[in-house]
Formats: sequence, C-alpha cells, structure tokens
Amino acid sequence: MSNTIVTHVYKWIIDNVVENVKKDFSSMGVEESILQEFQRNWELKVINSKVANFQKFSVNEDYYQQPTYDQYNPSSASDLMNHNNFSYTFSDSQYAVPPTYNTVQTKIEPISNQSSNIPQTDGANDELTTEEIDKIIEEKILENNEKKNKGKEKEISQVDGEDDDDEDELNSDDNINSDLDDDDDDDDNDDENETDHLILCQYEKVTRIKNKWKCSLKDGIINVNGKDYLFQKATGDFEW
Amino acid sequence: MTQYELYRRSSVGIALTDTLDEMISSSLIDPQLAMKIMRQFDLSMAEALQKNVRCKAGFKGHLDTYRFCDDVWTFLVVNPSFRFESETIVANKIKVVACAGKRATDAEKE
Repeated sequence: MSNTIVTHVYKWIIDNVVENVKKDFSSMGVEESILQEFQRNWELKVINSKVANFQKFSVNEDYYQQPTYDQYNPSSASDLMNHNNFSYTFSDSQYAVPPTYNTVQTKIEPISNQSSNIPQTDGANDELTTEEIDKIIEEKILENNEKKNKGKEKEISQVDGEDDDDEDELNSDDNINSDLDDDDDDDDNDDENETDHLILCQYEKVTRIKNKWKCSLKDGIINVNGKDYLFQKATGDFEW
Repeated sequence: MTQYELYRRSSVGIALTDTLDEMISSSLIDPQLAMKIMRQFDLSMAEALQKNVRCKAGFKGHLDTYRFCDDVWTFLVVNPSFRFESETIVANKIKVVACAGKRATDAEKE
C-alpha cells in the first residue's frame, strides 16, 4: 500500500537532507547540536501531521535497528528483570534494588503517559521543544483560570455583562475562557484545509478527446482525507 | 534530475518550512542556511520519489476546472475516487498540481 511506504520515504528524505546539509552547517560555523535539533523538530512535525502511521518513526537515526515502542516496553521489562536477577547475585544483597533501574523505570513511565503515538526509544524525555513546553504551561494556566472563573460565576452569577469593580480581572478571564481554546482548534483546521486533498506531481502526457481527459502523471504525493500516498506513476481520467 | 519547488507544499515540506521558520525567528540559523536546506530538500525529494517509490495509482472523477499556465497543469476534480494497490478512497474534491515531467530530458538535449 502506498501509504505504508510514506514513513520510510519521509524518513529517508529527512536523513538525506540532514546528511547533505551537514557541510553547509559546518562551513557556516553552525554547531552540530543545532543540526540535530533541526532534525528532531522536523521529524516531530512530520509525526504530528499524522499523514501516515509513524509508529516506527523513531527520532534516532538508527531507527531500523530499534524496536518499536510496543515491542520495546515488554522487552525492556524483561531486561529489567534479567538485570535485577543479575545484580542480586552479583551484589549478594537480596533486598537492595539497584538504584539505576529505578531511574530507568521512572524515565520510561512518564513517556508512555504523555505521548503514546510517538515512539520514544532514546530514554530521557528531552524531546519537548520549548514550544511544546510553552503549550503545556499555557494549558495549565488556562485550566487554572477556567477554574477560577467558574468559581467566580458561582459566587457572583453575573449575567449583565462586565462588572465595574473587578473589570480587568473578569475581562482577562473571559478572553481566555472563550477565545483561546477556539483559536487552537481553528489553527489546526486551517492547516488541514490548506494541505487537504492535494496532488503534487509531474505530468508526462495530458490528452483530451471531446470532454474526456486523460493524464499520465508521475512522481506524485497525494494528500487526501488527512493521509499521504505516494506514487511512481498514476493515471487520471476525468470528464469535464 | 528534475527537481521542483512544488513539493515544498507537501506535508513533509510544510513541516520543514515551519521548522526552519521557527529556527530563524529564534536566531538559531540564518535565512541563507535555510535556503540551502530548502534547495537540498528539493533534490532529496526528487531522488526519493524517483528511486524509492514503486507504487502505481489511478483516479477518476468529474473535472471541474482545468488550467495550463507556465508549463503547469492544474486540475480541480470533483468526487474523485482513487485506486491504490490495495484500497480505494473517495473524496469530495481534489486539486492536482502537475509540473512538466520531461524537463530533465529536455535539459539534457540542450
């Protein structure tokens, strides 16, 4: 299916671009860590676009050797067991749980809670960009404000518009309560509408007999219903 | 090899432009470097489509609008149905933007 190869092809493109711009980065004196950040941000954005199943789309470069997240969890659990057994015999202390594995576990668990779609196999949860962190903080603030606002409504139960006394506070609360959530949704929708239902390709031949059109197309990317499909060759038959 | 800026409008291309925009606005890279990355993306995308994709597809539908301008065909197809190797998909509308596929061979002749 041409949707399943999307993951592989996009990964290849990202790796290929990163590989080829390495020299540009170094010749312009830009640190390699910025190149890595660039790759990570790009991959995250592609994953979040959800145009294909990016379960296997790991952020690590050697992701083909990496187990997917589903496979990773049980295997890492059994690894832990093995390691534990090993260190029991090694340290001769039956009750001492090696502290290192505690840290490993605490690292794995929050990730599984936070992002079930993104397979994170590189341990520490360092993938959040500042933007995402900002978003989380923003959401928390919103939640708090909403709670505050609800509490106020209960106390005052105001239906006649703005209060004169604490106008400022209520205004800001109102704004946050009504607009910001919608704004986020609207942005998402706009993005989808822009990219939705588009074929980008090259034509080899376009012919028409009366109202019947025939096109032979090649090297195309189809984005339809939020999913991407790739084709080497395609034919289009339309009636005008 | 033919490469077009056309594919910058694809999902992976939009993800790239957004990433670069963010990194420019936070002064991590300068626009000149971003331009180089975009040009490399055009090359990599062309290579990926030509070498890594072996799928065939077909689609039918009612042609609402057609346009041929500057060697670019644009079709607006209503109620298209797509045939991929193992599935069929329908949509209410799709826009097709197609650049000339023979530019590479033309360029070689010249």
